[in-house]
Amino acid sequence: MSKIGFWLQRIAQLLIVLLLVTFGVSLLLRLIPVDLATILLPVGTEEERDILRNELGFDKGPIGYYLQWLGNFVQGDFGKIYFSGGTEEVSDHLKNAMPRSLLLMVYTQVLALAIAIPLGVLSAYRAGRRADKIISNTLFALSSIPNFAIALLLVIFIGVKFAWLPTLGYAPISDGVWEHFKHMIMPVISLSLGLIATYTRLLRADMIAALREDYVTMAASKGLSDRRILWRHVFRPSSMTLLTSAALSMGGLIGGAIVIESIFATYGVGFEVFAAIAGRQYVALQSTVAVIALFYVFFNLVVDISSGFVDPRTRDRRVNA
Amino acid sequence: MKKLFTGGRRKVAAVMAIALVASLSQVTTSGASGASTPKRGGNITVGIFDSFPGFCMADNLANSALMGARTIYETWVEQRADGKIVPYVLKSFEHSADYKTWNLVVRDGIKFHDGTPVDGTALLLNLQASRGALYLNGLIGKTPKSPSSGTGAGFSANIADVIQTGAMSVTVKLYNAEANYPDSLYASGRNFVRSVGQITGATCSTVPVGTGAFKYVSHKLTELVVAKNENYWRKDAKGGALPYLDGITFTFLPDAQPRVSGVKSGSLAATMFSSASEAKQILALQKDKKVTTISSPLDYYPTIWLNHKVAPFSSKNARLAFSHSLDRAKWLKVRQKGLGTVPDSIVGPNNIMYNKKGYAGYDLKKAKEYVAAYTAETGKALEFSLPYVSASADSTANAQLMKEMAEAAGMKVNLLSQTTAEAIQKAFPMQYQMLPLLLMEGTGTAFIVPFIVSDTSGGNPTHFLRGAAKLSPALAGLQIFYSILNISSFKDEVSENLLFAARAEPNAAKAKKLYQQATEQLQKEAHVANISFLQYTLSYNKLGGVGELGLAAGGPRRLITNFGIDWTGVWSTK
Amino acid sequence: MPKFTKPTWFAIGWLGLMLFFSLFGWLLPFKPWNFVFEDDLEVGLFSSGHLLGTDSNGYDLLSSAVAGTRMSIFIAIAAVGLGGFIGSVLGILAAYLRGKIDTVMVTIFNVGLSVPNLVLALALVSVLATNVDINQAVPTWRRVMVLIMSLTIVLIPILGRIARGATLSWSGREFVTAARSMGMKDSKIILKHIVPNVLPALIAVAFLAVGVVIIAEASLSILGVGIPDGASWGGMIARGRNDLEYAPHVLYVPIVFLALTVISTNHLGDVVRAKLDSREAKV
Repeated sequence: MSKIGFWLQRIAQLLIVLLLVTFGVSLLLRLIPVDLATILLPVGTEEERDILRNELGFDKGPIGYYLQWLGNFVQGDFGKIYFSGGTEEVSDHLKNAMPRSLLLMVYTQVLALAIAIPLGVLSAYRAGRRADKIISNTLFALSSIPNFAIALLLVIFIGVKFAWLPTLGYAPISDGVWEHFKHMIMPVISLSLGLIATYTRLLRADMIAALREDYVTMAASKGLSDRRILWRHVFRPSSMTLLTSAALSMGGLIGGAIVIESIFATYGVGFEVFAAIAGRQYVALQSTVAVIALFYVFFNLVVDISSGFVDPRTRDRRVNA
Repeated sequence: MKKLFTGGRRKVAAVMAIALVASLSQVTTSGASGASTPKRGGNITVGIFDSFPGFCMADNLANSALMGARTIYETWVEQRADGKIVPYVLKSFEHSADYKTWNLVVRDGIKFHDGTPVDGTALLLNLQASRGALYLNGLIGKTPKSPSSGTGAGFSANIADVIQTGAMSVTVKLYNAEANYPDSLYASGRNFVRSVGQITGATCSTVPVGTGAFKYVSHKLTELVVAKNENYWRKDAKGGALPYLDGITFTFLPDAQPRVSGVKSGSLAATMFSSASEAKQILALQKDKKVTTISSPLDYYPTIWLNHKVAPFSSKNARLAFSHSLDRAKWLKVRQKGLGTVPDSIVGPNNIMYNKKGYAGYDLKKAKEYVAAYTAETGKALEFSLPYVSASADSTANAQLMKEMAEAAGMKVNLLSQTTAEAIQKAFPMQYQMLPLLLMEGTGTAFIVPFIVSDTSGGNPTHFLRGAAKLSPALAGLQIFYSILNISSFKDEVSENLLFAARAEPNAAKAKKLYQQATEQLQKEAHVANISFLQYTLSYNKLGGVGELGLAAGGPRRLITNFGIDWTGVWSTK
Repeated sequence: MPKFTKPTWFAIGWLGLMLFFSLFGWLLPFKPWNFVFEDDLEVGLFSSGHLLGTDSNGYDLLSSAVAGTRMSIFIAIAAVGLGGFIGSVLGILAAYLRGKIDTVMVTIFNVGLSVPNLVLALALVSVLATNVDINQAVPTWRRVMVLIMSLTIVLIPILGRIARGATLSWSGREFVTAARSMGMKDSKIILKHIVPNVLPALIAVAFLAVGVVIIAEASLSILGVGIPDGASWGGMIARGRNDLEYAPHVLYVPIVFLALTVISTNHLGDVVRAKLDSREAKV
C-alpha cells in the first residue's frame, strides 16, 4: 500500500471513530426517559419549548437530530447552556476551560517524562540491582494510590498543615508566572505520579530488550562509553513506545481529570463535563465530549505520523499501558 | 431559592447560651476588628455558595448570590437592625386609616446606572413588573428564559391596583388591609429597584441596572464582577464619596473547604457560610485570630415541605408521624455541631409567629402510633422518597440522618438522588412527595405568609390575573396565587383567616396573638415540618468598615443577614 | 505449594481478608456502619469503642470500611468479570476471524477508547439512572446494576483490545495453522488452542482491571453518582472531603483500604504476568 493511501485510510478510520463517538453520545441522550426541552426550559411555555425543540432538532428522529447537531458543531456552534436567566455559549466555556486543561496536561507530561526518563534509563542500566528494585517498588506503590487520594493528601499536608501552596483555583500566566505555577504544582503532581510509574516501566522494559540486541554488544566492543551507548543506541530506539503511550494519555488528561479538577477547583474541561451532567445540560455534554474525542483522535494521528508505520504490536502495547 | 437541605444539634447549656446571645445582641462578632480610617481603592474577591442564574424578576437569586446582586441593586425600603422597615430609595410611605391605601414617594436626585432618573414612573413599572402585570401586557418576558414575573407575584398579590399620582409618587391600593405593607414591599431584600430600561428591555436577565454603589461589569453562572459607581447618591459621614472599593468579584465556591482556606490565606477578602451544613467551619473560624467572623441571628427557618397533593403526606397521620420522628436535638448535635437551637415551633423565637403550642416535636412513641394509624387508615405502609443533592457531601449526610430517624419510627424512606438543577426544577411547582427547603425567614411575616396560605391575594375576585386567566387558557396554568409559593399545596381556612386578620391588625400585640393562633393551627395539622434553625456568617480578612455605614434614613443596618453584608462602606486594609 | 515472596503473601492475605469481609462482613460483630454515635462525633483513631475512629456524622469508620468492602469488591468483580468475558469474546473473535469483523471490532474499541473512562462512566451512569416518575427513587440494587453495566461498557474495549492483541500473536503460530489445515472446526480451534493460551494474559490484566474499577467507582462516588444508600470506600472519601482540615483520619481510613487493595491486585497482576513471561520464554 502506498504511503499516501495508508494515511488517507488512517485519517478516514479516525474520522469514522469520531463520527461514531458523537453519534453514540447523541443516541445516549435520546435514551433519557425525560423530555429534553422540558429539562432545558423548566419554566418555559409549551410554545417556547416547541421553538427550542425545532432549533435543536429534538423534534426530529435521532439521525436528524444528530445531523443538525453535527452541522452546527463543524461550524463552531457548540450549543448553549440554559439556565433561568438566559444562556451561555458552550464554546465560551470551552475557550475558558481548554487552556487550563491543556496547560495542566502539558505540565503533567513534562514532569512525568522528565522524571520517568532518567529513572527508566537508570533502572534498565542497573536492572535487577538495588537501585532498580528501589525505583520499581517505590513507583509501584505510588502508582497504586489513586490520584485523588494523592491530591487529598497533598491538600492536607502542603496546603493546610504547612500552608505552602494555595489549595484551590487557577491563576492564568498573566497573574504572574510564579502565581500560575503555585496553583498548578499540586494538581500536576497528583496527575503525574501514576504516569511516572507507567512510563518508567515501559522504558525500562524496552531498554532491557534493546540492551540485549547485537548492535549494543557491537558498540560496547568498539569501546564506546556506557553513557553514549545508553542514550544514543538504546534510549533512542526504545523511546517509541514511551512516546506513544504519552501521546495517548493526553486525551484522557484533558477530559478525564474530573476529580482532580474538582478537588482543586481548577475548572478545566473535565469540570465542564461534570457541570454539564450535574446541571443536565445535555447539549453541552454532547459537544464537550465531542471535543475531548477530537483531541484523542488528534493525538492518535500525531502518534501515527511521528512513528511512521505503526505495527500492531506497538499499538497493542500502548493500550496495555 | 436557598440551599437545599438545611438543618442540624447539641448540649443544652451551650444551646441556651447561643440562643441568649442571638436574641439579646442580634449579632455576634469574633476575632480581630478592622482599622477605622477608610482607605480608598482596591479590588477584592468574595467567596459565595450560590450561583448567578440571572437578574430579572423570575431569576430568584439565593442568599449569598443575593449579596452580590445587592451591590448593584438597592431596595425601596430597608430593614433597620431592630427589624423596623424604613424608607430607603423611597423618601416616605404613608397609609390611609384603613391600611388599604399606601402612598409611596420616591427620594429626589437618585439616578440609575444608565443615567435615567428614579421617579414615579420607575416605581410604578417596578411594582407592575413584580406583580406580573407587565408580563401579561407583553412588556417583559420576551426573552424565552424569563417567562413570568416570578415569585414577586405571590408577594404582591394583595395589591388591587397601582396608580402613579405624581412625578415622584405612586399610590398602592390593597385588597385586604395590610398594616405593615412596607414589609411586603421589602420582600426580605429581594424587591430590587430596577431601571425601566432593564425591566422592559431584552436583556432583563443578563444586564442588571440599578442604583447601587457598584455597577455591573460582567457575570457568568459562577461569577459576578462589579465596579465602583462614580455617581453613587450616598455619602459617608464626612461627606466623602462612596463606595471606597474599586471593585468586587463574587466567586461561586460550593464546597466549604475552599472558602475556608481562601479566606485564611487571603485569596478571598471575605466569604459567607451557612450553619446548615458548615457549622464545623464556622466554629473553627470563630476561634481563628487572623479572621473576623460575624454571625446573623438564628432567623432562618428551613422547612420540610410535605406535599398535600399526593400520598402519603396528604394524610395528617403521615405528616404527624414524620414530624414526631425527627430527633431535633440529635440533629443539632450531629449535623450542626451544636450551633443553633432545637426547634420547638415552625419558626424561631425571634419571629412574631413563634408559638410552641401544637408543635409535633420529637416523640418516637407518638411517631410510631401515627405510623400505625396511617397504615390503619390507608392499608399501606408509610413510605416516601426523600430528595437530596448527591454531589454534596452535606446534603447526603443530612438525607441519611433524616432517613435513619424516620425509619426508626417505622417509615420506609427511599433516598432520591438529584442534581441541584433537577431539585429546583421539580420544586416549583412541587412534584416531590416532600422537600426540605429554606424559604421562611426573618422576625416579621411578610416573607412567611405567602408560603403558607393558598392564595396571597386573600381571595380577591377582581384580581387582574384571574381575569386574564379567564381570557387566555394558557395563563390558568401560571399558578400565580398558590402552588408556586405554598409548595406544600395545602388550604387551611382556619389558619388562613387568622393570618389575614393578623396582617390587617395595626395593634402589634393583637396581631401577635392572631399570628400565634395561626401557628398553632398549622402545627396541629403538621402542614409543614422542620428540624433546625439556621444562621449565616461572614468571615473576613483585612477589611475595614464592615457594618459601620448606617441607613439613609438613619439608624444602623442589620450587620449580616442571609444576603451577607452591605459593601458600600467597606474598605480594604491590604 | 508455590513459593511466593513476602509482598505476594501480603497481597494474597489482604485480598483474602477483603473477600472475607465482603462475603461474611455482615456476620462479624461490627457495629452497624450507618448508626450515628452522637456522643462520639469525629473521635480519632484507636478510640475506645471505635478502633478507627468516627467521622463527623458519628459513623464508625471501621464498620463503614468493612461494609464498604462489600460494595467496592462486588462491583469490581462483577464489572471485570462481565467486561472481561464480553471483551475477550469480541477480541478473540475479531483477531481470529480477521477481515471485516476485525475492522468493525477495532473501530468499536477505538470509539470506546476515545472517550476518557471516567467521562464515559459518568455519562452512562447519569443517563441510565434517570427515572421517569420522579418520586420513584431509583432503588439501590438498580443503581448498583447501572454502575456495573457502565463500568463493564468502559472495560469492554480496553480488555477487548488486549484479548485481540494476545490472540493475534497466537493465531499465527504453527499449531493453529496445523489444526486448521487438518480441518479442525474454528470453534474448536478457539476453545482448544487459543483460549488456553490467551487466558493467562487476560487473568493478569483482570487483576489490574479490578484495581482500575475500584478507583473508578470511588471517583464516581466522589462526583456524587455512586451508590447513595450504602457504604463504599469512594462514598466514605466523598463524605469525608469537608473533614479534611478538622479530622483528616476520616479520609485516611478509606484511602488506606483502597490503596492497599489496589496495590495488592496490581502486585498479583504483575506476579501472574511474570509467571507468564517465564513460561513463554521457555516455549
